[in-house]
Amino acid sequence: MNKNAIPIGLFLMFSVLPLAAGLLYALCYSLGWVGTLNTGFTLTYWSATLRDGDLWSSLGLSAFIALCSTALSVGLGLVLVLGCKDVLQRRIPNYLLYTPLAMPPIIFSFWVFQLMGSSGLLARWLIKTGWVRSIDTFPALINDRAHIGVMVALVLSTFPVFTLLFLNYYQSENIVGYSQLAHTLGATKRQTQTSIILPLLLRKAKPTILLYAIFLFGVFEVPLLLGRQSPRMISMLIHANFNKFNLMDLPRAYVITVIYAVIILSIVWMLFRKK
Amino acid sequence: MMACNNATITSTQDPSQLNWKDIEQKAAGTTVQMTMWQGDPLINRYMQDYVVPELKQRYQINLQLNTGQGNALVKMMMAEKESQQHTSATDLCWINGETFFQLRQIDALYGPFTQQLPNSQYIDFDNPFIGIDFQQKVDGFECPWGNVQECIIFDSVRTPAPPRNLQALEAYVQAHPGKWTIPYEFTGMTLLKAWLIALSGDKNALNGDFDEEKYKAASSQLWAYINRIKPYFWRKGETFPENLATMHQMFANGELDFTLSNNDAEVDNKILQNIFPGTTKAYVFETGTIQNSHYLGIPKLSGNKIGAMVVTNFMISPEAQYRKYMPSVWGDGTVLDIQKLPQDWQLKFNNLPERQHAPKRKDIQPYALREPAPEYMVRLFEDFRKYVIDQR
Amino acid sequence: MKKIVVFLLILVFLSPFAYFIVASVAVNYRFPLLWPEGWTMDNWQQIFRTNNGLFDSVFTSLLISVVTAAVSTSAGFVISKTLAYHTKRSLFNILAYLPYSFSPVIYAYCLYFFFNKSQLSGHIVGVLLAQFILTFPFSIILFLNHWNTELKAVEELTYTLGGSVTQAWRRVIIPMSKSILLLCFFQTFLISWFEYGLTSVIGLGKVHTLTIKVYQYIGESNLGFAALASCLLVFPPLILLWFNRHFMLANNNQYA
Repeated sequence: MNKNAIPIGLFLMFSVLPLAAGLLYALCYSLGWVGTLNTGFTLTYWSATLRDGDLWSSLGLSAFIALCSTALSVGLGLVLVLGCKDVLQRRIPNYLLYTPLAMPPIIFSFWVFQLMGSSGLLARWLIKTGWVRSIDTFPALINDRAHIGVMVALVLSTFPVFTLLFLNYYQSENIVGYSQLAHTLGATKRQTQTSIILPLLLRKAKPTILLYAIFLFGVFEVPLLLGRQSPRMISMLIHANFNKFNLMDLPRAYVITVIYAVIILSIVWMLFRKK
Repeated sequence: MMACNNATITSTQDPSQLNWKDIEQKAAGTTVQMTMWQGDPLINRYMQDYVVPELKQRYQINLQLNTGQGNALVKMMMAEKESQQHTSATDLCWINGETFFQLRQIDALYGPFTQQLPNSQYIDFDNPFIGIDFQQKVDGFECPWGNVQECIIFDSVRTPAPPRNLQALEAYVQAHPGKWTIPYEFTGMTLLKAWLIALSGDKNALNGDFDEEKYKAASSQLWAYINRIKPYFWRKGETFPENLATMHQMFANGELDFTLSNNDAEVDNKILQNIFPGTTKAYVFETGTIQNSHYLGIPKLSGNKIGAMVVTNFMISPEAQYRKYMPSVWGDGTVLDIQKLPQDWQLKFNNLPERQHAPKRKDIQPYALREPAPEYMVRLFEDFRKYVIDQR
Repeated sequence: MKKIVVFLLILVFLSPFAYFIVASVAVNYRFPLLWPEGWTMDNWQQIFRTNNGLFDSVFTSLLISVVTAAVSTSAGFVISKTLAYHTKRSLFNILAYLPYSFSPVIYAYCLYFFFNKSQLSGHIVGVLLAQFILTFPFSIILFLNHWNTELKAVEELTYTLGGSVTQAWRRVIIPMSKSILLLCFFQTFLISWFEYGLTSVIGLGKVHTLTIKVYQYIGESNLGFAALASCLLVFPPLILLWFNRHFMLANNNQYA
């Protein structure tokens, strides 16, 4: 036997097989092939789900939130690195940038809930200072229409990652060297930033940025606490459909799961195929 | 590990063939997994700090409390059936009518077992609010555990004259926009059931099996009513709390003028915990509110039915029921018929410290409505989303 | 300017930790009070009352995370070596990215049937396996970039000089990979330590990790305990961070 067979087999068994088996089961369930309440092959669940506005608004919302939060985080990271790289490399500020890595998303949600909720710290402070008259006039910042709470939690948790990433690239990509070169060749500070540093950082970080957008697309804990009932992010829609009273909704949950999988897996496939 | 082995040994025994002494003996040293709603700190404390240690001390039973309720329970047991498991992940669960109905539908409950429990002799099975769960006879497949009636909670200083019917509520929300909402969870849906009955015009209108025609007629009026006054709801009715504790918090903070509770005595325990102001009171609509019981059920696939039975028997003992009844502990109404109890327990129950802020049971009893068939609950859950939440 | 940046960083990043500590020892932290009425150690003392379950959940979390991290790091290290030197290396890389980028909670719903079938759901072993399925692809991705031609050359040199396979691993490969092994261990530990969605689905609410406890207390609106459980969840990684922050950064799916 080939000596590679065992490690490759183990790899496939624990990383590819579970996903493949899970998705195959989801597909079969959605087509009526498995499950106690199913009676045989049918496309009704698929056609009903695809015609349902819920699915499309969830996909749209998840894409919107993922893109906005990623863009804001990357933007904030770039501004910080370009604006105050030296400060961020000092011991204490640098440590501070790392602290969000010690907080899981559920804690970020809890924190944003306590901070921005209608009886949260922000509301208390604004009422105390007289900026807001009462709890009724404080605007809805969580479970809100624009999903501000969700995005704040996501940006708070991701922008430090990008900031640290850009700081690391600054050194590993010898950006200081290139900048000095550009400067000696007569480029202004602004020119150096926009046409040398920025493209270099973004090109290097591109796969990570895309990967984060994909993670955020499927995020669960944050909308669980801070999201809204309608429309919902895709993970919440799937979660709700798996837990509904009507047992006939299970196949529907699997339909949405398969659709999510097709989207995510094809993006990842295209993203990393070239590498 | 020991407990695990023990549980598998006992699972092979059919408890219905054993006498109670044997059951207690065999249950000793086993572990019972209980699945329950864990949304209230006082209830959790009653279970953790009283039931768990008492069972350990008296019966050497190790009771483990786990989170899970309603649809999640049904889904779990259905998955267990689909994967043809031999033992369920849970041995005992706290269930309400709609869950009972669904679990019976997929034949996931063990029974009849209640008549074997010595303490079941005290239970008031003839009371339709106890012996019948969502129009379905319990038939020994679940054991009554507590009995409560839904109440609306308000602050008597802030709201001296709370609305007592749907018309008055409409006028109230128009005058006080943003101060009322309906939680999208079972307490809120239970309120909607009472409204559905009110809109049907007769207290007994929805008794009997589920009737699509009746549901359609009443629910279309209900959705029209809610959508009409929705703009005056909290957050303009664009979102609804999904969690009762959050709603209590919003009431306490003055963000809402009302909150709800399925438990008529909850006001007292929340005031004692310093969560609600001392001027808080509870009341019911003049068209009535739902009174129902909550139950304990044993899954058919439980690996430790014997242990679960001993636990259940303890939970319906006068002692455990009495303690649960105290407003400072939980304030959960008892399912025991006080008249049937031994003299000393009768005395104790009758001398229980009066409810301070909650309405007296005898005052709200005339307004008690029976739970309609479970399909109404299932449909309300779905249609509230479809016709109210999604109507943006 | 720089002082403002530092001030803002402190405000943004330290305030949640400060808040959790304050809220966990607060008495009557009612709206609209900006500062609690008094202080108490009651919540903290209650950890040590075993029937409260919080103490146990620290151990459950610790056990699950240490085992998950140890197994996925060691398995990922050994297995990835074969994959890295294989002609199909880039294919393996993509294959590892597929499950890794999948939303853990949705993944859990896909796997739910199989865990039930094998009677693993609701058990700590099931949660361990599920979390391993989550962290293993990550460790493969991390190590695939580690195995390079330089390392290969040194390893081969060992054999040329008469070293055995065992010696090559013990004396050369592992020492040269020490820092990435530690990095992988800490990263997978954190993924597991922070996991909520998958654990709640596969654990059926029966495996009480710290994140499950935090969520339960949030659901009860039990601020004191939610804050206390949050402290227990975030302070260990925070302390770790103080000693070595380099173990903390890798592109892990922190939304796991």
